[in-house]
Amino acid sequence: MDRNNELLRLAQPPAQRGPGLAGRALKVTSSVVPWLIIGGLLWAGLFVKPAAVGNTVQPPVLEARDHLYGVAAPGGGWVWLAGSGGKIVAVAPDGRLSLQASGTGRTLQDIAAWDAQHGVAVGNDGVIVTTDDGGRIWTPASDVPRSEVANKLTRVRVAEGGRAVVVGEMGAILASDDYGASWRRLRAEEDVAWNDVALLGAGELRVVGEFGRMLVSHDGGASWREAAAPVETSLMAIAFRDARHGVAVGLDGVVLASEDGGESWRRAETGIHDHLLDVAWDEAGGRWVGAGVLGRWVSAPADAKTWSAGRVDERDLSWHTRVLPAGGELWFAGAGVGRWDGARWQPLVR
Amino acid sequence: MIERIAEFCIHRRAWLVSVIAVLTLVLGWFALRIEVRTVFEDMLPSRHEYVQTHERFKDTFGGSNMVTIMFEAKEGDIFTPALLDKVRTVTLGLREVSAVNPYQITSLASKKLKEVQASTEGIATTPLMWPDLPDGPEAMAALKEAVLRNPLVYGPYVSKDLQATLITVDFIDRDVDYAKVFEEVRTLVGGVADDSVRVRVVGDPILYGWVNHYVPETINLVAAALAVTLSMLFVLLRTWRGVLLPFLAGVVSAVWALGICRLLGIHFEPLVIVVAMLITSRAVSHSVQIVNRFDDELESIAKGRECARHAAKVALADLFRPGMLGVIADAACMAVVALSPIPMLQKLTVLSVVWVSTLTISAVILTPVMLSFIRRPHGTVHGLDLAPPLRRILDLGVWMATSRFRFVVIGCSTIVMLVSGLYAFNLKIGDANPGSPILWGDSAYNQDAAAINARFQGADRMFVVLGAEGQADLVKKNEILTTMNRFQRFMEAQPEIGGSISIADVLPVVSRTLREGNPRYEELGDSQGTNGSLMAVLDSVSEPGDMDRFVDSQYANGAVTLLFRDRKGETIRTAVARVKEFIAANPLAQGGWQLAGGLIGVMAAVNEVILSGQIEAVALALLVLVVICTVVYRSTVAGMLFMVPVIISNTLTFSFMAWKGIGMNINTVPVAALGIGLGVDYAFYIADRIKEEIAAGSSPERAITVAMHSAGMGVVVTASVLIVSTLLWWASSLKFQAEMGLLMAIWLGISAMSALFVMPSVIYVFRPEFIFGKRERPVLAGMVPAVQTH
Repeated sequence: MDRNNELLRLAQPPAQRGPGLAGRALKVTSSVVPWLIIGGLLWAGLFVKPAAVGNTVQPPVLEARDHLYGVAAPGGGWVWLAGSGGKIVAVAPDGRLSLQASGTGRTLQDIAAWDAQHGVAVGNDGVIVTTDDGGRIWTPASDVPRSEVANKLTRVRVAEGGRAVVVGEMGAILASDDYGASWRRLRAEEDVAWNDVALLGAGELRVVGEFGRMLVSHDGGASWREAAAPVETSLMAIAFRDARHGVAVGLDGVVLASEDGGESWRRAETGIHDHLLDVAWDEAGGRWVGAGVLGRWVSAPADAKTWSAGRVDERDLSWHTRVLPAGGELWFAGAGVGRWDGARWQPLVR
Repeated sequence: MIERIAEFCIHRRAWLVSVIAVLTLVLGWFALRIEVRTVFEDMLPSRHEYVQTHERFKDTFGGSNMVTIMFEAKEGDIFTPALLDKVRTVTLGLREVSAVNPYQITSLASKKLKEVQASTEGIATTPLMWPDLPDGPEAMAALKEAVLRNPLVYGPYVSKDLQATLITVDFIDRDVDYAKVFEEVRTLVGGVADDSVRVRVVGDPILYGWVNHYVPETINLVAAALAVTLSMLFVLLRTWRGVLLPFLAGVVSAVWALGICRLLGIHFEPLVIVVAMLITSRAVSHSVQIVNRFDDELESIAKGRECARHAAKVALADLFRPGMLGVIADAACMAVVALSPIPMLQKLTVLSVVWVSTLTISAVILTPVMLSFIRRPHGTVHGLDLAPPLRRILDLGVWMATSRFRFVVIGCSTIVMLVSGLYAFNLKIGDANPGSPILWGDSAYNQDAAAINARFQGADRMFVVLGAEGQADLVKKNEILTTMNRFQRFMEAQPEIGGSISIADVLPVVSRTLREGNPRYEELGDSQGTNGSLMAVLDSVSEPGDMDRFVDSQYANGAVTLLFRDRKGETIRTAVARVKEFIAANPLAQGGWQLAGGLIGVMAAVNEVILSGQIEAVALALLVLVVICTVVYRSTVAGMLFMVPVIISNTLTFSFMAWKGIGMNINTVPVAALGIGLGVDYAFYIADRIKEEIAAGSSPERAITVAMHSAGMGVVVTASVLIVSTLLWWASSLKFQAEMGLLMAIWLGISAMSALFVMPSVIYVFRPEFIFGKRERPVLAGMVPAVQTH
C-alpha cells in the first residue's frame, strides 16, 4: 500500500521534465483511476443496497369477495348492481363493467331505478343514495329518519312520479315522493325487520317481514292493518302481477299466494326447504320466478299453484337475494351475479 | 524465496508426501462421516424481520414446510365412499409421519373442517366427516350440501368442480428430515393409489425429498464427469502423470475439505455438489498447468537421471506465484459470500474456502513433488497427438494479440462488457418461472404443483400478522377486523394470489347463521359489541386448536393467510410491495402489522437478502481481487488488468442467466457468488508467464508466443476437458444441476477465452509496468523476431 502511495507522489516530478502535457496527464490518470475504481467498489459494496420494487395492481371492477345484494334495470339494456362496501356497478348492454361513484362505503342492500336517469340505492346504517344523471354520480340523501337501535335498510321499491318506499330493520318503512331527495317515516318504530314492500298503485302498499308478519295499507301508508299469514317463518320478498294476484316467499322454502290483493294468503307447495329470498313476476315469460340460497330457483305459471324448483347451476351454489326479469332473461344477484335463460347459467365474471 | 520453498519441497519430498498421506487418511476417516442433508433452518436469514415473524408465529399460523396432498377423482366427483375412504386413510396415517404437527392436519376427514349450524337450542358446530365416513347415499348427499354451502371448505379444500379435495399438513420445522418425510408420505400415498384416483403431493419437504431421491443419480453423474475428465486428459496429455496427478489433486483436496468440515460440524447439502465440482475443476486446472510446465521443461533438458527432479523444481518455482495467487484470489472472493446473513451460505463459504485453500497443498505443492519421483519422464503412452490442432488455437491467440487485430479484440471486449453488463440487470431475483426451478418443468413434482394450483387457490402460503403482543382481545376490535377484510380484498386483486383467509372471513358466517341464515347479514358487525359477541359465540362452540389458523390463544394477534399460485420472485415482490402499500395507506390506531410468515414470507426474506447483497458480493469480491493483485505485483495496474477477465465472465454469465430465465435464488446464489473469482487463475498463468519471459529478456512478441504455447496450452486442455465434463450434467434429472452445469461450462469457456484472446491483447497494447518493467517503452521497430513455436 505504502509503495502505491509513493508511486502516486512520484508521478509528479518526472512529469515536469517529462515528455509533455499528454504524457503527464496519462501518468496521472493511470495512477488515479485504479484508486478511483477501488474506492468505487468499496463504496458500492458497503453502501449500495438495491431495494425490492414491486408492481401495483389494478383491482377488477367485480371482485370474488363482492356480495351484490341488489340489481336494477334502468332501461336501454343497462343493468345496475349494488352491494358490498357501497359498490355500484353498471353493466353496459355490451357487457362492459364500470364502477360508479356511489358516495358511500356502507354495504348497499338494494337498488332500484325509475328510468335511465333516476335511481336509488339503500343499505346498511340507513344509507340512501340517489342519482339523477344515469348513475354517474350518486349522492347520499340527508335527514333520513333513523332508529337508535338498528338501521339496515333491506329493500327499495319505486313507482311513477318519483315515489319510493324503503323497508328495513326496527320497523323502518320510509317513503319519498321526490326521487329520493327527502324521506319520511310511514310507520312508527318497532322491533321487527320488514323485508320487502309491494307498491300496487293508488296508495296500495303490502309489506312482509320477520315472523311471517304482513301489513296492508290502502292510503299510501297513513294507516296500516296486519294481514293474517299462514306461516310464522320470516317472509323475505313479495311481488304482485296485478292489483289482486301476488306471491310472497320466505325462509325454509315457504311460498304464499294471494288472489285478493294480499288480504288473504294460501300456502303453495314447492317441495324444497331451502331459504327463498326473492320473487318476481316475469311478464315476458308469463311466470313467477323466485331465487334463494344454494343457487335455488322456483317457478310457477300465472296461477301460482304448481311450482317447479331447481338450481341455476349444479356447480354454483351461491345464494341470490334478487331475481330480475330483464331482456328475456333472468338476472340473479347475490354472492355471484349471472344471467339464466332457463337452461344455461352465465356468470358475469369468473 | 520461492526458489527456496521449491528447493525445500523437492529435497524433503519423501517426508512431505508421507505427511500429506497420513493427513489424507485421517481426514478421509472424517470425510466419510460427513452428513449429507438439507437443513431447512439454515436457509433462513434469521435476523430478517420476516423470518423473525415467521419464527414467532409458525406454530400457530402455519410453518413453511406445509405439504399439500390432492386427491383427484378421475371420473365423477369426490363424493364416493371409495375416494373419501382414501382421504380418511391418508389423513389418519399422516399422524404417524415423523415431525408432523398433529394439530395441523386439515382435510374433509379431519376434525378441523366443521359446519356452523344454528338450531332452536343455539349454535353448534359439527365436523363435516369426522370421525366416520357418510353412511349411505343420503348422508353422502348431505355431506355434499354441507360442503357446498361452506365457503371455508368449498373452494379452499374442495375444488369448485367437486372433482378434487385437499389434505394439508404442517411439520415442525426443527424436526423435519426431508428424506424421511418424503419416503413416509410416498409410502402412505402409495398405499391408497389406484386407477380411480390421481394423488398429487407438493410442498418443500417433498421437493427436497426429490432432490435426495436423485442423490444416487447425481453420484453417477459425478463419476461419469470424472471418467470423462480423466480419459480426455489421457488423450490430450498422452501421459499417465497427466491423468493421475490432477486426479490425485482433486481427491486429496476433496478429502481434506470434507474431513475438515466434518470436524467443524458443517454438513453437506446435496444441491451443493455443483460447487464441489466447481472447486475440483480448479484443482484439475492447477495440476494440469504444473504437469504441462513440467513437460515443457523436460523438452529443454537432455535425457538424464536427475531431469525429473529438476524439471519438477522449476515447475514448482515458476508456477508457485500464479498458482498460489489463483488459489488465494478464488478463496478470498468466495469468503466475501460469508457476509450474507443466510447460515447455509455462510457454511457453504467455509466449506468452499477450506476446499479451495487445500489446493495450495494438493495441487500447487503435491503435484510437482509427485512429478519429481518420475523415473523415465520422456515419451508418451499413446501415439495420438492432438497438440497440433490445439496449437493452432493458440497461434490464433498470438496473432490476435500481436497483429493490428488486437485493437478489434479490445474494442469488441469493451462492447461485450458494456452490453452484457447492461443486459445482466435483467437478472431476476427469486424464481423466474412458476414451479420449482430445481426440477424440470415436466417433472412429476412440477406437474403436481401446476395441477393443484389450477384447481385450488394456491398451495404456497404467506401470513401477515395484525395485532400487538400482550394486548389480549385486540383482534376482536372492529378496526382490526374491518382492516383485515379490506386488506384481503386489496391483496386478492393480484392475480397470482388465489385467495386469502382470516378470522374476518369466519365471523360473517357466524353472523349469518345467527340471523336465520339470511345472507344479508353475512358481514362483519358494525360495532365492537356485535363483533365481540360473534367472537364469543364462535369461542363457545370451538375446541382448542380450532382457531389456531386465525388467531392466537389470547386474541392478541390475528393472521391473514394469503394463498399463492406460484412462488416467482416477481409475484412475491409485488405481493410484499402491495402489503406495504396497504399498511402505509391504512394506519392502525392500535396494534401493528408484522410481515410475513409461511413459505412465501421466508422466501420474500431470502429474496430481499439476496437482492440487497448482490451488488455487495460482486463489488467486494472484485475489490478483494484488486487488492490481492495490487499487493502481489506491487502495482495497482495489475489489479485493473486482472479485473478484465473477471468482469467479462461475470457479466456474460449473469446475462446468460437472465436470458435463460435462471433466477438468483437460495440455490443459484452460491454458484454465482463463488464463480465471481473463478477463472481468474487462467489469466494469472498467462500473464505471469509473459512477465517471466520479459524478465528473461524476451521481446514482447516472443514472450506472448511462449506464454501462450506453455501456459496457454494448459488453459486450452483444462478448459476443454472441464467444459465437456460439466456439460454431462445436462443429463441430470434435477434441472438445477443441469443448468448449473451449463452455467459452469459457460463460465469456464468465457474465462478461458478471455485469458487466451483478450488478456494478451490488453497486455500488449497497454504494456503494464509490472509485466514489462520500469523502462521506457521498447522501440518496436526491428525487434520482431521470427515467431518461434515449440
